[in-house]
Amino acid sequence: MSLYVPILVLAALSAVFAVFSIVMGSLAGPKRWNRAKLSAYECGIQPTPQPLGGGRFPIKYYLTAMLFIVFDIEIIFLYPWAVAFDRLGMFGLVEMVLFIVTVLVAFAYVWRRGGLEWD
Amino acid sequence: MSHLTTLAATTAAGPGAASITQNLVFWVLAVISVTAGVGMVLARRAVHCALMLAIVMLSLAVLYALAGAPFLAFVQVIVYTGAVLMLFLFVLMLVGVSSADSIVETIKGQRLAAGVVGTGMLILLALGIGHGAIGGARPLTSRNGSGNVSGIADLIFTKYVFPFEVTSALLITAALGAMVLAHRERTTPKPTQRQLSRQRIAGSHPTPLPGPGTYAQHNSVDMPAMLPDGTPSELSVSPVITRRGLSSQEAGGPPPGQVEAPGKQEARP
Repeated sequence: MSLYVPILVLAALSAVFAVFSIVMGSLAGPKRWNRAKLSAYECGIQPTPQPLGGGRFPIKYYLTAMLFIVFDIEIIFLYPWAVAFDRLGMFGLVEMVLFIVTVLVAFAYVWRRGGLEWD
Repeated sequence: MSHLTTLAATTAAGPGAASITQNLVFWVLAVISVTAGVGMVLARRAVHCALMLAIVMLSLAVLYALAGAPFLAFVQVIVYTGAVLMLFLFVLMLVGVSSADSIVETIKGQRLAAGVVGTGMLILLALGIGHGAIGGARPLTSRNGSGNVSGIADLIFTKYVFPFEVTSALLITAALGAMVLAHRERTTPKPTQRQLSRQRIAGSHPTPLPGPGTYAQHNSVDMPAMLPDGTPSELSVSPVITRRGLSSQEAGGPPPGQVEAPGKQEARP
């Protein structure tokens, strides 16, 4: 359980920092509102009304999200392999290379079919 | 610190010996996750459901960590909360955030099937928990002997090496399915840099377009520049901004809500 003490300390630090910043900002900062300051910040341009139905993302993002999941899962398998690398030796290396190459086939397919082109 | 080390000792001793801290965290998280789970079912907006699910998943991660399974806890955070839930949100955005779900039964026998599957899940859970409670389950120490992560590595690369390799086929299927569902094949070749620059020189405006004006209410991007004769230059504002429902005269003018349909705009080369 002492494994988690650094994580707990970090979480506590970030929580304290967030609360402190917000509270101190609202206490110490001057409050001089105007219309421009109160409007929603939308990357600098005039806030645009939300489109009907909340708006929809282009379908291309689905491929991005799916590829992200694929590589996320691949990386998750790398962690235990890296921890036990010394004991697993050559067998572990061959198995992992086999695994990565197989997943890369999917990546190569998506790449060659033009799935990564954004236009 | 001292109670944490004793907690570590009790965790190593097995699931039977739970300390006060462990119990306390479990009950707090149980209340949070069950509340969030009920909220997920009851929430009307799909995005709220997804966020409730995130709370449930994070609580589960902490529970796994509490039970002495750090690897599972981090997988829960990285894969489930980080990637799978993100995919849920993406799909929600693809479909449209506020698009309503049909209450009418569209697939025949869906409710019956849901009831059967739910009952089956309940039976499975009861069996699993009962099995663990009666004493059939082995303590974690039998697997956690050399540390949780390396124990998992040993299992992956010995007993479960074939399922592990087959997982890559599953991942290929996922990527391929996404390509089949979401990819639109390009019918014309992509214009090269050479073609693009040729097009630009041959077009009506080979020089860089004028920059936007210097001041608007929010910033200058949606404010047209003034030409020497005092008229605003439509060319200086990105067509994306005007297409979003603001003519450049309005930018910096009336507050949002009074914006009209996009006005006529000059064609950009």
